[in-house]
Amino acid sequence: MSRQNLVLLNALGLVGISGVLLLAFVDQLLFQELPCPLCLLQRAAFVLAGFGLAMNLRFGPSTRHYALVLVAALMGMVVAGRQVLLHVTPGSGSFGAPFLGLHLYTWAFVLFGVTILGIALLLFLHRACDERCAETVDDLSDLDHRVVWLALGAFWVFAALALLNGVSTLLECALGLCADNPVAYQLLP
Amino acid sequence: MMALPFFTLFAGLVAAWFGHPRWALGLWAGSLLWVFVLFLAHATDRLSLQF
Repeated sequence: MSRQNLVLLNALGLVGISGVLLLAFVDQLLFQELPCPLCLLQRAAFVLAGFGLAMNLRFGPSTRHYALVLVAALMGMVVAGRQVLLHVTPGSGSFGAPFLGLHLYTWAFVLFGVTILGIALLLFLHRACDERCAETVDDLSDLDHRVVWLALGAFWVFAALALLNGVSTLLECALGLCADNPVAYQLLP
Repeated sequence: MMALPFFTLFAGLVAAWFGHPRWALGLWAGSLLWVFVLFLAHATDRLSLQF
């Protein structure tokens, strides 16, 4: 697969992760569902995973950067899996409203799995690029300008979402620990 | 405490943008470690994070 297509797939992957973070914000702001501590850790895992894709966009596709995504997605699966298990027994309740029949932490578990499969596919396709693309790493000037703009846009939208999550978490939890079942922002009147 | 990984990751992205991959990787690794510590704290209920 050409380097341009690999960059395009990485950019689309980053757009997908940004979409997940954006949906979480919509749920938080429009439906007033403040994220629980485990929910915040899952968001952090999504940002950790997207970081690897962002590195691919900035420095060129590399197996090292895919490794970052895999580790982060595994971490996210463990956190989301724990939350699923906390609520799987009858009478243990749930957190938040379901979306399309599944709770957000269950969706997160599924999406981290999809991320791992997606990275496996990208690694499979990456091999063909290793030798031909080695000399062009860290230079996007040889790519179609639409792909470059998509990559740059995805990079900075993702970075903005990471920052907004930090601000939102700070407002919700202040400098201490988050409430077990948050109902209000600690730093807002 | 829980906002720290997000700010660190944002700093890592800015470092990457300005061409410092080692700083970016270091900040990523620090964030991962902190998320892991928070998760362990939750799993073992050491910091009363149990929701």
